[in-house]
Amino acid sequence: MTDEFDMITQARPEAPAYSPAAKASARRRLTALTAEAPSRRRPFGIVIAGVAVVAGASVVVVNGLQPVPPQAPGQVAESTPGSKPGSGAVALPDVTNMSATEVLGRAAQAATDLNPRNDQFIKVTSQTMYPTLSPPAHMENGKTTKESRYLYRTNRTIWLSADGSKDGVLKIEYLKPRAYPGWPIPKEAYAEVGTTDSTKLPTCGQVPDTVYTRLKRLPTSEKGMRDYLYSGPHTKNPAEIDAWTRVGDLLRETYMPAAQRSALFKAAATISGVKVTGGVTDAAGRAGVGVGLVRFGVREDLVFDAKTFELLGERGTVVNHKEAKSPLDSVVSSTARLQVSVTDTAPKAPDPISEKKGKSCG
Amino acid sequence: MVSTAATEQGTRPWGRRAAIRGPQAGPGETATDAGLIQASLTDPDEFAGLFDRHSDEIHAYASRRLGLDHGHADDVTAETFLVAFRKRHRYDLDRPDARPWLYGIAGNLISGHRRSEVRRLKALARTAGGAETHELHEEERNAERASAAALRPALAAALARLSAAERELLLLVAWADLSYEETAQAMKIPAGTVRSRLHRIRAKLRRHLDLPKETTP
Repeated sequence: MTDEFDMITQARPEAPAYSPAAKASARRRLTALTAEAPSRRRPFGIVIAGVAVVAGASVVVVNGLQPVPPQAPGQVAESTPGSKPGSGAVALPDVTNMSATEVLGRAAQAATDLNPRNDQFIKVTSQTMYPTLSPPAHMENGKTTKESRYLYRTNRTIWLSADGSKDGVLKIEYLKPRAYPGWPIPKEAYAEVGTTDSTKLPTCGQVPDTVYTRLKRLPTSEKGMRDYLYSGPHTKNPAEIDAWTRVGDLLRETYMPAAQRSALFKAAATISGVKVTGGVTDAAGRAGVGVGLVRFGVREDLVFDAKTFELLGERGTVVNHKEAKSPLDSVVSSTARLQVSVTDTAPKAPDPISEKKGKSCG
Repeated sequence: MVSTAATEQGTRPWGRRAAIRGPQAGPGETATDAGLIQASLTDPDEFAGLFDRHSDEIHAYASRRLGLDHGHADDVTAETFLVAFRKRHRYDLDRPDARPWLYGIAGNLISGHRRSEVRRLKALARTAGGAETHELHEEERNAERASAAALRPALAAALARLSAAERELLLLVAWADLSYEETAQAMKIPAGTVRSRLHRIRAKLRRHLDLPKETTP
Protein backbone atom coordinates (compact mmCIF):
# COMPACT_ATOMS: atom_id res chain seq x y z
CA MET A 1 0.00 0.00 0.00
CA THR A 2 1.16 3.47 -0.84
CA ASP A 3 2.55 5.36 2.09
CA GLU A 4 0.27 8.29 2.89
CA PHE A 5 3.21 10.49 3.78
CA ASP A 6 4.93 9.85 0.45
CA MET A 7 1.65 10.60 -1.27
CA ILE A 8 1.50 13.99 0.36
CA THR A 9 5.13 14.63 -0.48
CA GLN A 10 4.65 13.66 -4.10
CA ALA A 11 1.49 15.72 -4.38
CA ARG A 12 3.40 18.86 -3.50
CA PRO A 13 2.05 21.47 -5.91
CA GLU A 14 4.36 23.20 -8.33
CA ALA A 15 5.42 26.46 -6.80
CA PRO A 16 4.45 29.29 -9.13
CA ALA A 17 7.22 31.79 -9.76
CA TYR A 18 7.61 34.69 -7.36
CA SER A 19 6.86 37.65 -9.59
CA PRO A 20 9.80 40.07 -9.66
CA ALA A 21 7.42 42.95 -9.05
CA ALA A 22 5.91 41.36 -5.95
CA LYS A 23 9.35 40.43 -4.76
CA ALA A 24 10.73 43.91 -5.34
CA SER A 25 7.73 45.34 -3.53
CA ALA A 26 8.28 43.02 -0.57
CA ARG A 27 11.94 43.89 -0.45
CA ARG A 28 11.12 47.59 -0.62
CA ARG A 29 8.77 47.29 2.31
CA LEU A 30 11.49 45.54 4.26
CA THR A 31 14.23 48.04 3.42
CA ALA A 32 11.87 50.92 4.22
CA LEU A 33 11.54 49.36 7.67
CA THR A 34 15.25 48.65 8.11
CA ALA A 35 16.10 52.17 7.00
CA GLU A 36 13.99 53.53 9.83
CA ALA A 37 15.56 51.37 12.50
CA PRO A 38 18.26 53.01 14.60
CA SER A 39 21.67 52.14 13.32
CA ARG A 40 25.20 52.64 14.43
CA ARG A 41 26.60 52.53 10.92
CA ARG A 42 24.84 54.84 8.57
CA PRO A 43 25.81 56.61 5.39
CA PHE A 44 25.78 60.37 5.77
CA GLY A 45 22.64 61.00 3.73
CA ILE A 46 20.48 58.74 5.84
CA VAL A 47 21.67 60.27 9.08
CA ILE A 48 20.39 63.60 7.83
CA ALA A 49 17.03 62.12 6.97
CA GLY A 50 16.88 60.37 10.33
CA VAL A 51 17.64 63.54 12.25
CA ALA A 52 15.03 65.38 10.28
CA VAL A 53 12.37 62.87 11.34
CA VAL A 54 13.07 63.66 14.97
CA ALA A 55 13.37 67.39 14.44
CA GLY A 56 10.23 67.62 12.37
CA ALA A 57 8.13 65.43 14.61
CA SER A 58 5.15 67.70 14.13
CA VAL A 59 4.98 66.62 10.51
CA VAL A 60 3.61 63.11 10.59
CA VAL A 61 2.24 61.97 7.30
CA VAL A 62 0.93 58.72 6.05
CA ASN A 63 3.62 56.42 4.72
CA GLY A 64 4.24 56.92 1.04
CA LEU A 65 3.86 53.20 0.50
CA GLN A 66 0.30 53.18 1.75
CA PRO A 67 -2.31 52.84 -0.93
CA VAL A 68 -4.37 55.97 -1.31
CA PRO A 69 -8.04 55.88 -2.14
CA PRO A 70 -8.35 56.08 -5.90
CA GLN A 71 -9.32 59.54 -7.06
CA ALA A 72 -11.73 58.01 -9.52
CA PRO A 73 -13.16 54.49 -9.49
CA GLY A 74 -10.91 51.96 -11.14
CA GLN A 75 -8.20 54.48 -11.64
CA VAL A 76 -5.36 52.95 -9.69
CA ALA A 77 -3.99 49.75 -11.11
CA GLU A 78 -4.09 46.73 -8.86
CA SER A 79 -0.42 45.98 -8.86
CA THR A 80 1.07 49.20 -7.61
CA PRO A 81 4.47 48.26 -6.25
CA GLY A 82 4.78 49.22 -2.64
CA SER A 83 1.09 49.71 -2.20
CA LYS A 84 0.45 46.47 -0.36
CA PRO A 85 -1.47 47.19 2.78
CA GLY A 86 -0.10 46.76 6.21
CA SER A 87 2.71 49.21 6.74
CA GLY A 88 0.70 51.67 8.82
CA ALA A 89 1.31 55.34 9.41
CA VAL A 90 4.86 56.44 9.96
CA ALA A 91 6.83 59.64 9.75
CA LEU A 92 8.47 60.42 6.46
CA PRO A 93 11.95 61.81 6.50
CA ASP A 94 11.91 65.55 5.94
CA VAL A 95 13.45 65.34 2.53
CA THR A 96 13.18 69.04 1.87
CA ASN A 97 16.44 69.37 3.75
CA MET A 98 18.15 67.06 1.31
CA SER A 99 20.00 68.30 -1.73
CA ALA A 100 19.41 66.92 -5.22
CA THR A 101 22.79 65.22 -4.91
CA GLU A 102 21.66 63.43 -1.77
CA VAL A 103 18.29 62.35 -3.12
CA LEU A 104 19.72 61.21 -6.43
CA GLY A 105 22.63 59.62 -4.59
CA ARG A 106 20.17 57.55 -2.59
CA ALA A 107 18.26 56.71 -5.76
CA ALA A 108 21.54 55.52 -7.24
CA GLN A 109 21.82 53.02 -4.38
CA ALA A 110 18.36 51.53 -4.91
CA ALA A 111 19.77 49.12 -7.41
CA THR A 112 17.70 46.01 -7.95
CA ASP A 113 18.15 44.38 -11.31
CA LEU A 114 15.73 42.26 -13.30
CA ASN A 115 18.42 40.98 -15.66
CA PRO A 116 16.17 40.19 -18.62
CA ARG A 117 17.47 37.90 -21.35
CA ASN A 118 17.86 39.33 -24.83
CA ASP A 119 14.92 37.31 -26.14
CA GLN A 120 12.55 38.51 -23.42
CA PHE A 121 10.33 41.55 -23.08
CA ILE A 122 10.34 44.37 -20.59
CA LYS A 123 6.78 45.00 -19.51
CA VAL A 124 6.01 48.35 -17.95
CA THR A 125 2.62 49.38 -16.64
CA SER A 126 2.02 52.98 -15.82
CA GLN A 127 -0.62 55.56 -15.30
CA THR A 128 -0.17 58.83 -17.11
CA MET A 129 -1.66 62.29 -17.27
CA TYR A 130 -0.35 64.64 -19.92
CA PRO A 131 -1.65 67.89 -21.38
CA THR A 132 -3.27 68.07 -24.79
CA LEU A 133 -2.82 71.54 -26.23
CA SER A 134 -4.70 72.56 -29.34
CA PRO A 135 -3.24 75.25 -31.57
CA PRO A 136 -4.34 78.82 -30.77
CA ALA A 137 -7.67 79.89 -32.30
CA HIS A 138 -7.54 80.01 -36.09
CA MET A 139 -9.77 79.70 -39.17
CA GLU A 140 -10.49 76.20 -40.39
CA ASN A 141 -13.12 75.37 -43.06
CA GLY A 142 -14.58 78.81 -42.64
CA LYS A 143 -14.99 78.45 -38.90
CA THR A 144 -12.92 79.80 -36.09
CA THR A 145 -11.52 76.96 -33.98
CA LYS A 146 -11.33 77.38 -30.27
CA GLU A 147 -8.09 76.98 -28.40
CA SER A 148 -8.44 74.23 -25.85
CA ARG A 149 -6.35 72.50 -23.24
CA TYR A 150 -7.05 69.49 -21.13
CA LEU A 151 -5.24 66.72 -19.34
CA TYR A 152 -5.77 63.28 -20.81
CA ARG A 153 -5.23 60.28 -18.66
CA THR A 154 -4.45 56.66 -19.47
CA ASN A 155 -3.36 53.36 -18.06
CA ARG A 156 -0.57 52.09 -20.25
CA THR A 157 1.07 48.72 -20.55
CA ILE A 158 3.97 48.36 -22.90
CA TRP A 159 5.95 45.28 -23.88
CA LEU A 160 9.31 46.06 -25.41
CA SER A 161 11.75 43.51 -26.73
CA ALA A 162 14.91 43.56 -24.59
CA ASP A 163 17.19 43.67 -27.60
CA GLY A 164 14.79 45.44 -29.95
CA SER A 165 14.62 42.47 -32.31
CA LYS A 166 10.92 41.73 -31.83
CA ASP A 167 7.84 43.86 -32.26
CA GLY A 168 6.52 45.42 -29.12
CA VAL A 169 2.93 45.91 -27.98
CA LEU A 170 1.23 48.88 -26.38
CA LYS A 171 -2.07 48.67 -24.60
CA ILE A 172 -3.79 51.89 -23.60
CA GLU A 173 -6.87 52.29 -21.50
CA TYR A 174 -8.34 55.78 -21.70
CA LEU A 175 -9.39 57.24 -18.38
CA LYS A 176 -11.49 60.26 -17.59
CA PRO A 177 -9.76 63.51 -18.51
CA ARG A 178 -9.02 66.28 -16.04
CA ALA A 179 -9.16 69.99 -16.57
CA TYR A 180 -5.96 71.73 -17.50
CA PRO A 181 -6.00 74.14 -14.58
CA GLY A 182 -7.75 77.31 -15.66
CA TRP A 183 -9.26 75.77 -18.83
CA PRO A 184 -12.64 74.10 -19.42
CA ILE A 185 -12.59 70.46 -20.56
CA PRO A 186 -13.67 70.31 -24.21
CA LYS A 187 -16.22 67.69 -25.27
CA GLU A 188 -13.81 65.81 -27.51
CA ALA A 189 -11.74 65.00 -24.43
CA TYR A 190 -14.31 62.35 -23.51
CA ALA A 191 -14.42 60.66 -26.91
CA GLU A 192 -12.29 57.65 -26.02
CA VAL A 193 -12.90 57.42 -22.28
CA GLY A 194 -13.51 53.84 -21.18
CA THR A 195 -12.09 52.30 -24.32
CA THR A 196 -8.93 50.22 -24.61
CA ASP A 197 -6.55 50.17 -27.52
CA SER A 198 -3.98 47.53 -28.34
CA THR A 199 -1.37 48.13 -30.98
CA LYS A 200 1.65 46.31 -32.19
CA LEU A 201 4.80 48.41 -32.15
CA PRO A 202 6.64 47.19 -35.22
CA THR A 203 10.42 47.40 -35.05
CA CYS A 204 10.70 48.15 -38.75
CA GLY A 205 14.29 47.03 -38.48
CA GLN A 206 15.13 49.92 -36.19
CA VAL A 207 16.61 49.43 -32.76
CA PRO A 208 15.71 52.38 -30.53
CA ASP A 209 18.32 53.86 -28.21
CA THR A 210 16.31 52.92 -25.16
CA VAL A 211 16.08 49.14 -25.63
CA TYR A 212 17.58 47.26 -22.74
CA THR A 213 20.63 45.92 -24.56
CA ARG A 214 21.54 49.43 -25.71
CA LEU A 215 21.01 50.95 -22.28
CA LYS A 216 23.33 48.26 -20.99
CA ARG A 217 26.11 49.64 -23.16
CA LEU A 218 25.82 53.15 -21.73
CA PRO A 219 28.58 54.42 -19.43
CA THR A 220 28.54 53.23 -15.85
CA SER A 221 30.52 56.16 -14.47
CA GLU A 222 29.03 59.46 -13.40
CA LYS A 223 31.38 61.36 -15.70
CA GLY A 224 30.74 59.11 -18.69
CA MET A 225 26.99 59.31 -18.21
CA ARG A 226 27.09 63.07 -17.83
CA ASP A 227 28.96 63.38 -21.11
CA TYR A 228 26.37 61.15 -22.72
CA LEU A 229 23.49 63.27 -21.37
CA TYR A 230 25.06 66.40 -22.82
CA SER A 231 25.96 64.80 -26.15
CA GLY A 232 22.59 65.52 -27.71
CA PRO A 233 20.09 65.68 -29.26
CA HIS A 234 20.37 69.44 -28.90
CA THR A 235 17.53 71.89 -29.26
CA LYS A 236 17.56 75.64 -28.94
CA ASN A 237 16.94 75.21 -25.22
CA PRO A 238 19.76 75.61 -22.73
CA ALA A 239 22.03 72.55 -22.58
CA GLU A 240 20.95 71.58 -19.05
CA ILE A 241 17.31 71.41 -20.13
CA ASP A 242 18.19 69.10 -22.99
CA ALA A 243 20.24 66.97 -20.62
CA TRP A 244 17.38 66.76 -18.12
CA THR A 245 14.96 65.85 -20.90
CA ARG A 246 17.29 63.06 -21.84
CA VAL A 247 17.32 61.75 -18.28
CA GLY A 248 13.53 61.42 -18.44
CA ASP A 249 13.65 59.80 -21.85
CA LEU A 250 16.04 57.14 -20.63
CA LEU A 251 13.78 56.21 -17.73
CA ARG A 252 10.30 56.45 -19.22
CA GLU A 253 8.86 53.02 -20.07
CA THR A 254 12.30 51.47 -20.13
CA TYR A 255 14.37 49.30 -17.89
CA MET A 256 17.71 50.84 -17.01
CA PRO A 257 20.19 48.20 -15.86
CA ALA A 258 21.31 48.79 -12.27
CA ALA A 259 24.83 50.01 -13.08
CA GLN A 260 23.66 52.52 -15.69
CA ARG A 261 20.73 53.61 -13.55
CA SER A 262 23.07 54.37 -10.71
CA ALA A 263 25.38 56.35 -13.01
CA LEU A 264 22.41 58.15 -14.51
CA PHE A 265 21.09 59.38 -11.18
CA LYS A 266 24.53 60.51 -10.10
CA ALA A 267 25.07 62.29 -13.40
CA ALA A 268 21.61 63.87 -13.23
CA ALA A 269 22.58 65.41 -9.90
CA THR A 270 25.38 67.32 -11.64
CA ILE A 271 23.01 69.09 -14.05
CA SER A 272 22.91 72.70 -12.90
CA GLY A 273 19.59 73.99 -11.64
CA VAL A 274 18.26 70.59 -10.54
CA LYS A 275 16.41 71.07 -7.26
CA VAL A 276 14.51 69.03 -4.67
CA THR A 277 10.85 69.55 -3.78
CA GLY A 278 9.42 67.53 -0.93
CA GLY A 279 5.87 66.36 -0.44
CA VAL A 280 4.88 65.61 -4.02
CA THR A 281 2.80 62.67 -5.21
CA ASP A 282 2.83 60.62 -8.37
CA ALA A 283 -0.17 59.86 -10.57
CA ALA A 284 -1.15 56.94 -8.36
CA GLY A 285 -1.14 59.17 -5.30
CA ARG A 286 2.07 57.74 -3.87
CA ALA A 287 3.93 60.31 -1.81
CA GLY A 288 7.46 61.09 -2.73
CA VAL A 289 10.14 63.64 -3.24
CA GLY A 290 10.56 65.50 -6.51
CA VAL A 291 13.86 66.30 -8.16
CA GLY A 292 13.65 68.50 -11.20
CA LEU A 293 14.36 71.42 -13.43
CA VAL A 294 12.15 74.24 -14.68
CA ARG A 295 11.21 74.27 -18.36
CA PHE A 296 8.63 76.57 -20.01
CA GLY A 297 7.37 77.69 -16.62
CA VAL A 298 6.83 74.12 -15.46
CA ARG A 299 9.05 72.30 -13.00
CA GLU A 300 9.61 68.84 -14.47
CA ASP A 301 10.24 66.50 -11.56
CA LEU A 302 11.24 62.92 -11.28
CA VAL A 303 9.36 61.61 -8.26
CA PHE A 304 11.18 59.25 -5.90
CA ASP A 305 9.82 57.25 -3.01
CA ALA A 306 10.74 59.29 0.04
CA LYS A 307 12.05 56.30 1.92
CA THR A 308 13.37 53.78 -0.56
CA PHE A 309 14.26 56.40 -3.18
CA GLU A 310 13.00 54.23 -5.96
CA LEU A 311 11.65 56.02 -9.00
CA LEU A 312 7.87 56.36 -8.79
CA GLY A 313 7.04 58.58 -11.76
CA GLU A 314 7.19 62.07 -13.16
CA ARG A 315 5.34 65.27 -12.48
CA GLY A 316 5.06 68.73 -13.98
CA THR A 317 4.17 71.63 -11.68
CA VAL A 318 3.55 75.22 -12.78
CA VAL A 319 6.07 77.63 -11.32
CA ASN A 320 5.51 80.49 -13.76
CA HIS A 321 1.84 80.97 -14.54
CA LYS A 322 2.41 83.28 -17.51
CA GLU A 323 4.74 80.94 -19.33
CA ALA A 324 2.63 77.89 -18.53
CA LYS A 325 -0.72 79.68 -19.03
CA SER A 326 -1.96 77.99 -15.91
CA PRO A 327 -2.21 78.94 -12.23
CA LEU A 328 0.87 78.74 -10.06
CA ASP A 329 1.42 75.34 -8.38
CA SER A 330 -1.11 73.53 -10.55
CA VAL A 331 -0.09 70.10 -11.79
CA VAL A 332 -0.03 69.78 -15.57
CA SER A 333 1.47 66.35 -15.97
CA SER A 334 1.79 63.37 -13.71
CA THR A 335 2.75 59.75 -14.22
CA ALA A 336 3.22 56.69 -12.08
CA ARG A 337 5.32 53.71 -12.98
CA LEU A 338 3.29 50.94 -11.44
CA GLN A 339 5.10 47.79 -12.35
CA VAL A 340 8.15 46.73 -14.29
CA SER A 341 8.59 43.05 -15.04
CA VAL A 342 10.12 40.65 -17.50
CA THR A 343 8.03 38.40 -19.72
CA ASP A 344 8.85 35.76 -22.31
CA THR A 345 6.25 36.90 -24.78
CA ALA A 346 4.17 39.91 -25.69
CA PRO A 347 0.44 39.54 -26.26
CA LYS A 348 -1.03 39.49 -29.74
CA ALA A 349 -2.12 42.86 -31.06
CA PRO A 350 -3.21 44.29 -34.40
CA ASP A 351 -0.41 45.56 -36.58
CA PRO A 352 -0.99 49.23 -37.46
CA ILE A 353 1.10 48.88 -40.61
CA SER A 354 -0.59 45.91 -42.22
CA GLU A 355 -3.94 47.47 -41.37
CA LYS A 356 -3.17 50.72 -43.10
CA LYS A 357 -2.21 49.50 -46.52
CA GLY A 358 0.31 51.60 -48.30
CA LYS A 359 1.79 52.85 -45.09
CA SER A 360 5.13 51.20 -44.70
CA CYS A 361 7.88 51.02 -42.19
CA GLY A 362 9.93 53.94 -43.53
CA MET B 1 1.37 34.01 -19.86
CA VAL B 2 3.74 35.97 -17.75
CA SER B 3 6.94 34.19 -17.17
CA THR B 4 9.31 36.11 -15.06
CA ALA B 5 12.88 36.56 -14.17
CA ALA B 6 12.13 34.49 -11.12
CA THR B 7 11.27 31.57 -13.37
CA GLU B 8 14.58 32.13 -15.00
CA GLN B 9 16.62 31.87 -11.89
CA GLY B 10 14.39 29.02 -10.94
CA THR B 11 12.70 28.37 -7.70
CA ARG B 12 15.29 26.48 -5.79
CA PRO B 13 15.26 22.76 -6.20
CA TRP B 14 13.92 21.09 -3.18
CA GLY B 15 16.08 19.38 -0.70
CA ARG B 16 18.75 20.52 1.63
CA ARG B 17 21.07 23.30 0.73
CA ALA B 18 23.59 22.83 3.46
CA ALA B 19 26.34 24.17 1.23
CA ILE B 20 24.99 27.72 1.35
CA ARG B 21 24.75 27.69 5.08
CA GLY B 22 28.22 26.71 6.08
CA PRO B 23 29.30 26.69 9.69
CA GLN B 24 30.50 29.94 11.21
CA ALA B 25 31.64 32.08 8.32
CA GLY B 26 35.27 33.08 8.28
CA PRO B 27 36.51 36.16 6.51
CA GLY B 28 35.55 36.11 2.85
CA GLU B 29 33.06 33.30 3.39
CA THR B 30 29.31 33.62 3.20
CA ALA B 31 27.92 34.65 6.57
CA THR B 32 25.41 32.33 8.20
CA ASP B 33 21.86 33.53 8.65
CA ALA B 34 22.65 34.01 12.32
CA GLY B 35 25.65 36.10 11.28
CA LEU B 36 23.44 38.30 9.12
CA ILE B 37 20.87 38.70 11.85
CA GLN B 38 23.57 39.59 14.32
CA ALA B 39 25.01 42.15 11.90
CA SER B 40 21.53 43.59 11.42
CA LEU B 41 21.41 44.45 15.11
CA THR B 42 24.11 47.02 14.40
CA ASP B 43 23.26 47.77 10.81
CA PRO B 44 19.57 47.04 10.16
CA ASP B 45 20.06 47.12 6.39
CA GLU B 46 21.99 43.86 6.63
CA PHE B 47 18.67 42.15 7.22
CA ALA B 48 17.82 42.50 3.54
CA GLY B 49 20.43 39.78 2.96
CA LEU B 50 18.13 37.33 4.70
CA PHE B 51 15.33 38.30 2.32
CA ASP B 52 17.58 37.81 -0.70
CA ARG B 53 18.55 34.39 0.59
CA HIS B 54 15.21 32.94 1.59
CA SER B 55 12.32 34.92 0.11
CA ASP B 56 11.98 32.60 -2.91
CA GLU B 57 11.75 29.57 -0.69
CA ILE B 58 9.27 31.13 1.71
CA HIS B 59 7.22 32.33 -1.24
CA ALA B 60 7.23 28.86 -2.76
CA TYR B 61 5.95 27.40 0.50
CA ALA B 62 3.29 30.08 0.95
CA SER B 63 2.09 29.73 -2.63
CA ARG B 64 1.95 25.93 -2.38
CA ARG B 65 -0.30 26.32 0.59
CA LEU B 66 -2.36 29.31 -0.48
CA GLY B 67 -2.11 29.40 -4.25
CA LEU B 68 -1.28 32.59 -6.05
CA ASP B 69 -4.81 33.99 -6.07
CA HIS B 70 -5.54 37.20 -4.25
CA GLY B 71 -1.83 37.80 -3.67
CA HIS B 72 -1.98 35.99 -0.32
CA ALA B 73 1.33 34.26 -0.92
CA ASP B 74 2.95 37.57 -1.85
CA ASP B 75 1.52 39.19 1.27
CA VAL B 76 2.59 36.34 3.52
CA THR B 77 6.12 36.44 2.15
CA ALA B 78 6.44 40.20 2.54
CA GLU B 79 4.95 40.12 6.03
CA THR B 80 7.16 37.22 7.09
CA PHE B 81 10.28 39.30 6.66
CA LEU B 82 8.75 42.40 8.24
CA VAL B 83 7.74 40.39 11.29
CA ALA B 84 11.12 38.64 11.35
CA PHE B 85 12.91 41.98 11.25
CA ARG B 86 10.92 43.29 14.18
CA LYS B 87 11.62 40.11 16.14
CA ARG B 88 15.28 39.80 15.22
CA HIS B 89 16.44 40.78 18.72
CA ARG B 90 14.92 37.59 20.02
CA TYR B 91 16.52 35.31 17.43
CA ASP B 92 18.58 32.51 18.92
CA LEU B 93 22.00 33.24 17.41
CA ASP B 94 23.12 29.68 18.12
CA ARG B 95 21.02 28.58 15.17
CA PRO B 96 22.99 29.29 12.02
CA ASP B 97 20.07 28.49 9.70
CA ALA B 98 17.16 30.90 10.01
CA ARG B 99 14.81 28.97 7.76
CA PRO B 100 12.92 27.16 10.53
CA TRP B 101 12.35 30.49 12.24
CA LEU B 102 11.12 32.08 9.00
CA TYR B 103 8.88 29.09 8.24
CA GLY B 104 7.44 29.41 11.72
CA ILE B 105 6.57 33.05 11.13
CA ALA B 106 5.20 32.29 7.67
CA GLY B 107 3.14 29.45 9.13
CA ASN B 108 1.52 31.78 11.64
CA LEU B 109 0.68 34.22 8.87
CA ILE B 110 -0.66 31.45 6.67
CA SER B 111 -2.98 30.33 9.45
CA GLY B 112 -4.38 33.85 9.27
CA HIS B 113 -5.50 32.82 5.80
CA ARG B 114 -6.74 29.45 7.02
CA ARG B 115 -10.17 29.89 5.54
CA SER B 116 -8.88 30.59 2.06
CA GLU B 117 -6.48 27.66 2.31
CA VAL B 118 -9.26 25.30 3.25
CA ARG B 119 -11.52 26.71 0.56
CA ARG B 120 -8.78 26.13 -1.99
CA LEU B 121 -8.17 22.57 -0.82
CA LYS B 122 -11.87 21.83 -1.02
CA ALA B 123 -11.97 23.23 -4.53
CA LEU B 124 -9.06 20.98 -5.46
CA ALA B 125 -10.88 18.08 -3.92
CA ARG B 126 -13.88 18.79 -6.13
CA THR B 127 -12.14 19.51 -9.43
CA ALA B 128 -10.95 16.12 -10.60
CA GLY B 129 -13.83 14.58 -8.62
CA GLY B 130 -15.55 11.29 -9.20
CA ALA B 131 -17.06 11.74 -12.66
CA GLU B 132 -14.05 10.97 -14.86
CA THR B 133 -12.61 8.35 -12.58
CA HIS B 134 -15.79 6.33 -12.70
CA GLU B 135 -15.47 5.92 -16.43
CA LEU B 136 -12.09 4.31 -16.13
CA HIS B 137 -11.78 0.55 -16.26
CA GLU B 138 -10.88 -1.23 -13.11
CA GLU B 139 -7.18 -1.76 -13.97
CA GLU B 140 -6.84 1.79 -15.11
CA ARG B 141 -8.34 3.04 -11.93
CA ASN B 142 -5.95 0.89 -9.94
CA ALA B 143 -3.03 2.27 -11.92
CA GLU B 144 -4.35 5.76 -11.32
CA ARG B 145 -4.66 5.12 -7.65
CA ALA B 146 -1.04 4.18 -7.50
CA SER B 147 -0.04 7.54 -8.83
CA ALA B 148 -0.17 10.21 -6.23
CA ALA B 149 -1.19 12.82 -8.78
CA ALA B 150 -4.51 11.13 -9.42
CA LEU B 151 -5.17 10.97 -5.73
CA ARG B 152 -4.65 14.64 -5.39
CA PRO B 153 -8.31 15.52 -4.98
CA ALA B 154 -8.63 12.94 -2.23
CA LEU B 155 -5.43 14.20 -0.67
CA ALA B 156 -6.63 17.75 -0.85
CA ALA B 157 -9.80 16.72 0.92
CA ALA B 158 -7.83 14.87 3.55
CA LEU B 159 -5.58 17.89 4.08
CA ALA B 160 -8.58 20.15 4.40
CA ARG B 161 -9.85 17.97 7.22
CA LEU B 162 -6.73 18.38 9.32
CA SER B 163 -6.51 21.17 11.85
CA ALA B 164 -4.39 24.19 10.91
CA ALA B 165 -1.63 23.12 13.28
CA GLU B 166 -1.66 19.55 11.99
CA ARG B 167 -1.51 20.74 8.42
CA GLU B 168 1.34 23.05 9.18
CA LEU B 169 3.39 20.37 10.86
CA LEU B 170 2.77 17.86 8.10
CA LEU B 171 3.53 20.29 5.29
CA LEU B 172 6.65 21.69 6.90
CA VAL B 173 8.02 18.17 6.78
CA ALA B 174 6.46 17.05 3.50
CA TRP B 175 6.55 20.21 1.40
CA ALA B 176 9.20 22.41 2.99
CA ASP B 177 11.60 19.50 3.53
CA LEU B 178 12.31 20.49 7.11
CA SER B 179 13.73 17.85 9.42
CA TYR B 180 11.85 16.97 12.61
CA GLU B 181 14.35 19.09 14.51
CA GLU B 182 13.79 22.08 12.20
CA THR B 183 10.04 21.61 12.27
CA ALA B 184 10.21 21.59 16.05
CA GLN B 185 12.12 24.89 15.95
CA ALA B 186 9.66 26.39 13.50
CA MET B 187 6.67 25.41 15.61
CA LYS B 188 8.39 26.00 18.94
CA ILE B 189 7.59 22.52 20.20
CA PRO B 190 9.90 19.70 21.33
CA ALA B 191 11.23 17.42 18.58
CA GLY B 192 9.63 14.42 20.27
CA THR B 193 6.27 16.11 19.99
CA VAL B 194 6.78 16.52 16.23
CA ARG B 195 7.31 12.79 15.97
CA SER B 196 4.25 11.83 17.97
CA ARG B 197 1.98 14.39 16.34
CA LEU B 198 3.13 13.33 12.89
CA HIS B 199 2.28 9.76 13.83
CA ARG B 200 -1.23 10.84 14.77
CA ILE B 201 -1.63 12.92 11.65
CA ARG B 202 -0.60 10.01 9.46
CA ALA B 203 -3.13 7.77 11.11
CA LYS B 204 -5.78 10.39 10.46
CA LEU B 205 -4.74 10.71 6.83
CA ARG B 206 -4.84 6.95 6.37
CA ARG B 207 -8.34 6.92 7.73
CA HIS B 208 -9.52 9.72 5.45
CA LEU B 209 -7.83 8.29 2.40
CA ASP B 210 -9.24 4.84 2.87
CA LEU B 211 -12.70 6.31 2.69
CA PRO B 212 -12.60 8.28 -0.55
CA LYS B 213 -16.40 8.33 -0.80
CA GLU B 214 -16.57 10.52 2.23
CA THR B 215 -14.24 13.02 0.69
CA THR B 216 -16.02 13.55 -2.60
CA PRO B 217 -19.33 15.38 -2.63
